[in-house]
This record gives sequence, C-alpha cells and structure tokens, in this order.
Amino acid sequence: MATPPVIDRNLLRHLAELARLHVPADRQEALLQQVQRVVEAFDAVRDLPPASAPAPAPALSAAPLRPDQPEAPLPLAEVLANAPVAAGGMFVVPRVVEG
Amino acid sequence: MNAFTTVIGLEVHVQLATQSKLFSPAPAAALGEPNSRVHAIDLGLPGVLPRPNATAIELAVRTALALDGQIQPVSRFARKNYFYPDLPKGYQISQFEEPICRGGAVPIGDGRSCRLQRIHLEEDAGKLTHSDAGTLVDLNRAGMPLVEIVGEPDLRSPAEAHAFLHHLREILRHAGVSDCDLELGSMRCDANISLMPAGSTQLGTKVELKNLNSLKMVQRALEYEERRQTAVLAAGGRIAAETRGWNDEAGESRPQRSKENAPDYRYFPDPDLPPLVVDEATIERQRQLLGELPERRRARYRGRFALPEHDVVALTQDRAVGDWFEALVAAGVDAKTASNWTIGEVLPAQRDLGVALADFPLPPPQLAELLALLADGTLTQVTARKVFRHLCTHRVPARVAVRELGLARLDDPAALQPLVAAALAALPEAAAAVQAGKERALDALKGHVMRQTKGRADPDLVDRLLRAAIAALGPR
Amino acid sequence: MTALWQLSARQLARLVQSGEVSARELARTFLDRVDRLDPALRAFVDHRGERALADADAVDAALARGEPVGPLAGVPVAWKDNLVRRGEVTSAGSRMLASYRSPFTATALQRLEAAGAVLLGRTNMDEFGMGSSTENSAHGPTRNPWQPDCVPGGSSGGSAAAVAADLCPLAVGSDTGGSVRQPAALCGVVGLKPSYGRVSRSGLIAYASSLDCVGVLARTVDDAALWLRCTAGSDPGDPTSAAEALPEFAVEARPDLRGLRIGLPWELNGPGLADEIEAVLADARAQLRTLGAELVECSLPHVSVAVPTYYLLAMAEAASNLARYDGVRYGFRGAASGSCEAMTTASRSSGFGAEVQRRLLLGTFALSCGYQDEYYGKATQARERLREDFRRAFAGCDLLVSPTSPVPAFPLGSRIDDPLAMYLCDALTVPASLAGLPALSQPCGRTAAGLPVGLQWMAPPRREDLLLQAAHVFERHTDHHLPRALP
Repeated sequence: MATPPVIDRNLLRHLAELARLHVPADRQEALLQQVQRVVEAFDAVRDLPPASAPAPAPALSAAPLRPDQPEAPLPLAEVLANAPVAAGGMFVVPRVVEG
Repeated sequence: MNAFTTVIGLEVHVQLATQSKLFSPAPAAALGEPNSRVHAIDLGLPGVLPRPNATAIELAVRTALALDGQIQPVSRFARKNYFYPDLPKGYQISQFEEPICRGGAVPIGDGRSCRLQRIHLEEDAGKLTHSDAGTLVDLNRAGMPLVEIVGEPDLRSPAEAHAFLHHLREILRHAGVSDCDLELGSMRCDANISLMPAGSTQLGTKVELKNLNSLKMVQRALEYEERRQTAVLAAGGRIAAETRGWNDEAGESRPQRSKENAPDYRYFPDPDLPPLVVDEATIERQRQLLGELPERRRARYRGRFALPEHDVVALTQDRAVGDWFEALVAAGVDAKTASNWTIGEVLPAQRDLGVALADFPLPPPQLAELLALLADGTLTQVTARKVFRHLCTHRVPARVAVRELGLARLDDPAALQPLVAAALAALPEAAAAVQAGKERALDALKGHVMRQTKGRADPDLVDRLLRAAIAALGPR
Repeated sequence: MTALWQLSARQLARLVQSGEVSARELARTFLDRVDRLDPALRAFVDHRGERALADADAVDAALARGEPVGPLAGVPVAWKDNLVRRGEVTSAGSRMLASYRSPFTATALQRLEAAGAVLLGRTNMDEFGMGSSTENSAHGPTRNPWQPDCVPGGSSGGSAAAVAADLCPLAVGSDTGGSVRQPAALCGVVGLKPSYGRVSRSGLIAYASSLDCVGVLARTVDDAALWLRCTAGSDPGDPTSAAEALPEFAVEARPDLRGLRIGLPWELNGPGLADEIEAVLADARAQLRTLGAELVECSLPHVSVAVPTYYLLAMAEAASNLARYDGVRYGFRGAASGSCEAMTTASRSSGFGAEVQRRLLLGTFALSCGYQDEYYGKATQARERLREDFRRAFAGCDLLVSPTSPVPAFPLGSRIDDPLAMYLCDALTVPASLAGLPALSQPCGRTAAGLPVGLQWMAPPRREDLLLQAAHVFERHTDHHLPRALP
C-alpha cells in the first residue's frame, strides 16, 4: 500500500493558488491537519485493488443536441443586473496583468 | 548551407459558421454592442447547464471529413480549469482525452501534406479591453463554437506553414465550415517552432508564437523566429521554452510567458454533458454536404473544361463560385463563356450589391437565358452587359428586358445605312484618313454609329457598310 | 377536528379544487405558522408573504373562471435556497450570493407552479449543499423541530424542518450524497431522491453535477409521488435529464409486500450504527416481514470505499463548478487593491465559508497534476464497481433497505469542527447517489430520546414506482409518520 502524500505548506499554497483562495497564516496549521486527515481517509480509494474483470463501461446515453436556432439574448440590463461593477455595457475588473 | 533544420507545428482555431453558440442559443455573431449577444449560459450564471448545438457538431464532423481525419463515434467534452475574467465559468468546455477526430492531413502543395494529430471542439472565451479604469469584459464572443486543428510538427519552413494555412483555409471555406478570416479572428493560429541540427532527429526546444493575425504575419513571424533561434544557437546559446507574442509593426516577437511552469488545467470529463455520439448517418450526411474538395475540382476544370489556369484558380477560390459556374454550364452555356461571365461580370456585380452569391438576383438559369441571346446574335457583348445590369435590379425574363430596353441587335442594313452616312458627314477627316489607308481611323466612324445606336448595331455589319460607303466616295 | 395544516398536499389540493377552501386561505394558514414558529426554527431564509398570497389569489381566480388548475392546486410549497426563481434572491446559503437575483426560473419550480403550487419561500441549507447539518449556512443554523438543540440534518435541513414543523406540506430539496434523505430521517419526514436525471437540474445551483438530484420532503409517501409526477420528465435545459417518461403507476397499487424480495446489504445494516438506530431498524425489518416481504441478505462490497469515493468526486466537481464565483459578473466582490487575480482571491476567500473552502482545496487536490489518476481517477473506477455491485444485488432482489443515517439528530455544534465525523453521516446514503438510484427515507420509529429514525429504500434505476409503492405499504401499516413535532 502506498503511503498517503503529505500535505505540506507548499502543496497547500499551490492548491490555494489554483483555487484562488487565501489561507490566512493563523488558520494554516489547523487547515493542514484537517486536510491531511481527510486525504488519509481518502486513501482507501487509492488502494482499491485492480478489478479481476474490467469494469463494464458506464451505460452510454448520448448527449441530446439542440437545433441551431438562435434565441433572443438577455437584455443588457439583465446581463449586468448582478454586476459588482459595470461601465459602458461591460463588466469592470481591476486591471488584468498579463501573466 | 543552413546548419539547422526548422521544425514547425501549427495549432489553428476555426470558428464554425453556426447561427447560435456552441452551448447556448445566443446568436453567434461576433459583432454588436458589448454584451448584446449573451445568454444566461454564456454568463455562467448559477444553475445554467450547457446545451450542445447540433450544427456545431455536424460542422466539426464535416471538418474532420474534409481533412481526412478519423471521426470518433464516441467522444467527450472535458473541462479545462483556469481563472481569467474572460472565462465566465472558470473553466472552458473543450475536449481532451477523447476528441471528436484523430489524425487527418492538410496538403501543403506539390502533392505533399502535413499530418494532423487531432481536431476537437471547444467554446471561445470573451474579450477584454484595458482602460485606465480597469479591464472591461465583453462576453459576446464567449461560447462561440470553435474547432481546434492540431498539426504534427511536419512543417520544415515558414513557407510550408504559409502553404498549410492557405490550403486549410481553402478547404474549410469550400466545406462551408467557416469563413476562416484571420484578420477578423474566425481563424486563429498559434505556431510552435524549434530548430535542430541538420541531420538530427532530436527535436530542439520549442517556442510558441501568438498574435498571428494574417497569413503574411504567420510567415514573417516564423522567419523572424527562425533567424533569432539560429543566431542564439550559432552563438552557443540555449533556446528558452516560452510563449512569444508577434508585434507586426515592430517586426519582432517578444517573450510573453515562460513555459517552464506549465499551468495545471486539471482537465476532467464534463459531468454536465453525456458522451458525444456521432452516428454513421450523420457522417454520411456531412460527406454529401462536403462535396468536392478544391484540389479535385481544379483537376476537373483543367481536364474536362480545358479552362486556362487563371480561370481555374479564380473559380475554385470559393466553393460557391465554382458551383455557380457549373450551374451555368449545366444550363447550356459554353464553359469558357460561363467562366468569363462568372469571373468578369457576376463576381464584381455581387461585390457591388453586397449580397451572397446564393442571393444574387440573377440565378444561373436566368443568366443562361441572357447568354443564349448573346449566342444567337440577338445581343452584342455591349448590349448583353447592359441587359445583365438591368436584370440585377429588375426581376424579369431576359427577353422582356431586351424588349423593354429596346436593345435588340440592329442588323437591318436599310436601318443602319442613314447612320453610316451621318457618320461620314460628321467625321469627314476620318473618312479621308481611311481612304488614305489609315485603317485605324475606321474605329472612330464605327464608334460613332455604335454610340448613335447605343451599342445595338451589329458591329460586323457596320464595318461592312462603312467600308462600302467609303469605297463609294471614290478616290480622293 | 383536523386542522388544515395537518392535511396532506393531496388532501389540500382536493379541498381547493372543490372550492371548500381557497388557495389564499391555505397560504394564509401556512404563512401564519411560519410567522409563529419559524423565528425559533429558522427553517426559512425568506418567505414571500404578500407575493405568495397574490399567487394564491391567481389560483383562486383561475378556479373561479372554471379553468383547469393542476394537481397541486393552491398547495403551498417551500423550496431550498439553491433553486433559482426569476427576479428573486437565491443565495445557496452563501455570503457569495447574498443578493444574487436570477433572470430565469428552475425547471422544477416552473413545473410546480404550472401544477398549481403556490411558492411560499426559500429554506435554509448548508452552503452550496456542503454539509450534513445545515450549520454551514451564511443565514445561521436551522433547528430540529423535535429537539431544538439538535440539527435537522442537511444539507436540505431547512426544507426538512419546515415540513416536520408543518410550515408547508411539501418542500423541494436537493440530494447530492444524502441531502434530502438524511435530514428527512433526522426530522421524521419522507424524503425522496429520484433517479439521477429524473428531475431536471436546470436552475439548481450546482454542487456536484454527476450526483446532484432535485428531491422532495413530504409528510407522506403519496405526496412525494404526487410531487414527482408534477416535476419529472426530460428537459432541453438539462442534457443529463432522462429522455424516458415516468411510467404511469398508482402508489397504492399494492395491498402488502407479498412477492417482493427485499435485500439487506450487510455493509449498510450493521457496521458503525448507533445501538438505538439498530434497535429501531430491527423492528422495521420485522414489520416488513409481517407485511409479506421476503428479506434476503446481500452484499455491496465496494460500499467500504463509498464515502471517500463520494467525497473525492463531489469535491472535484465542486472545485470546478464553484470556479464561476470570481467576483466578475455577479456575486460578492472582495476588497482588493491591485490585480484582478487578487480581487478574485479576495472575493472567494471572504464570500465562501470554511467548509466550502476546505472542499474546494481538497477537490483541487483530487484533480491536480500528479494526484488526479490516484484520486479522482481511482474514485471514478470505484464508482463503476459500486454500480456493478448494485446490478448484482438487484439480480437477487427487488429493493434494498437500510437505515438512512447511522446516527439520530445530533446536538448543534457537536460535529462542526470535525469534517470527517460529519462526512460519515452520509455513509449510508452516498452509495445510492453514486449509482444514480432512486432512494427514499421514511420515518420508522424513534429513539428513547424521542428522535426520529429513518428507513432507507433503494430501487433499481428508474424504478421510482416500485420504491414508492413499497414505502407506501409500510406507511399505511405503521403510524411512525403521524406524530406532529409542533402544535
């Protein structure tokens, strides 16, 4: 059985960056422990023994397709109704830095 | 001789010509006021689910057929996860491990071709504009249907890359899949380029080039990159794996992003979308709609119609043009006449009217009627053009137009005789010049008669009558 | 005399249709109960008050004009705060969506209104459905009507508490891993999770797309069947909604359970159960035998990994589904100086609660480069094996039963700081979720402390008919569903 990976500060920081979450320094230790415990509990799945026979493929129901007929778009007022900041018919966000 | 071999692979995004978006029924039109073509689905609002567009799938199938790829009976949509303000759901619906098509090829001339790795469907992102107040987000383009065509690194020069794109565009336009406009963004190209020592099989470090907005730009950017990498390697340097943006005005590319740390997109099958199943009937229908590809059509035009190369090229640029030409031939018009009229009259008139060829006011059977009147001598080249222009704005049969315009050919010598006499009287010095043996002076006299008859006079008859009348004047 | 609020949805609709009671009177009755009882319970996050009365008037007017009104004529229905309704706030229990108003209405709600239902108000829930106690809500916790110090279960705890307290006869919920069945068990009401795809997800704020099901909390099995009849069916708005129609069936078609083989998967009927649950279930099993059922032992071997499998898949899908909350187009925007990236991070860090953030981190982990094959990939395989386990089990029996929850309602705050302990609350409900099966929880007795215990039924795919008919037999021959929590 493989040992579960250790969720260290670097991995947690990496995951938080990917998920666009900020983990305050004072919560880091507690979160690390919680996450580590859950990942250890998940290990039962990782240790799933290989199937004796290949698992049957899931039943194949095809995606239903929509006829290509345009419908009226949302009125601009509704598009922007929930916008935190809008101007000139567009959503406004702080300047994007090309990364 | 060059010490390095250039290796180029292209990734091309092509916008499919649908009426609505890939997963939403919002109108698929790139133009319009900001956020005027946006459905709740395109906004990624809470509770929305994607609704795949049948025509987009069909056009992807047709693309695969046109490029000789293997259509996968079952494929899957996958989520590509990353945050960017132009990406409303925080993921792009694309295809990853199970694309709709594997393999395929694009001709690059001289009977050679570049292999394709895959073709897959995906949705487009929105558009950002940067202002002092911040970045502005317009989602009109978000959700537009794209196919991504991924080429193998088979290309060995910027010219081959140019040929690849030229042929790809021609094929896809013929197939009716997309208008493939690089300037307007309905076709977008990223290029990967690396150099390896001549004779080696070990690929060098590749650089990705972006912002290539025309065929010429693709070639210029690759030529620049080829020179830049050669210089770095010749000086014993190392090529950095990076993405570079092409700046056409400056004529150079600049680094945008290092590729050492590849982003982690966490692809996984989209749980909102069951597998995409393409059945044989769909493939067969698209095969019918695909019709004949340009290369094969050109061969036929050269052979069966014996058209000159200029005509062959002009008639096969666009499938609709060739179809129009063939409809004229089918309606009984001689091939060369049909070609001349299609290229010389119909296309310019269509451009002036600003309509699609399919909506051109004078369909091939009606134009064929007009050309029959030319063939049987009722009309001259000049009057036939007049009737043609008239018919572009008046929906009447050609014969009726000829009558309405009073343009039937004048070939009655008795009716023309007075006009010939009048021409000699009006231009005595021209008549004298002809008498003196200056043949070209006859043109002025002919022109006079033709003007008087608004081009209706039979030019051969006028010629004969003028010569006879001058001869009758006697020696000077 | 029986008060109006004690009647079933079917009885109430009949009274409205026959003109004995007006829809307004019904709405008024239940709104009064909400006003009187809900301040202590907090089952609702918002009720529609005058707007509900106006909708009720419209039903009355239609009846007066002799127009046909649907099978839920005038029945007040509450709905979980994760189903959107045009023009109204839908918050999914989150600060992120505290003032979010949708421009469209969820298909399930549209169909209920088309059937004559009057939408009463939104019910409380764990944020984005992530929780088993309704404590993870930006609106504060909901209390169990049977024991106010205890949780109602979750995540549809508001809907379960509302029905248990007779604040409405029906409440829409959603069930991803047990979020309808577990609170139904803890609150002593019926909870139906239909087959995956039976009821459209269009307008349901996604938690985990491959598991999310719109379900219902009701006082009776028959009412749950009535609700299903009104909401089931394919929907162009949901590509995963099932194409085939719900078969015609009468819920009372069976006099007893004779001829039915009922399987007892040992993995769900023993290990890890509280003693008091086990005791009540033993009585229930005896009752099933008395009613003529043949009880057979069976096994679902991969249930041993069902909880981690479920959480890996649900968290992975959630990490992607909740990426749209970036502070750009709608929702909470956090204060941040500088870049757009910083704004999005600030919005998500302040807009989401602790449990949601934990699950997003874990879901990101399950999908991330280097771990995806080992976690998300393996969980996908485990899910297929579990489906196969169920196929085998159903080859030998018609239905499966188990307790719904390994524990009865627990005190507020007792598990909130221990995510793993909370996750184990779902141990018995996640298997049917992973296999997409229809399942139902119904009251089957009480603990010594008077807390309700739920019996869970699981049926083969799309066999809601069998599920509801069997549960109806049990209900008709027992009285566990009769006591009311609050006068």
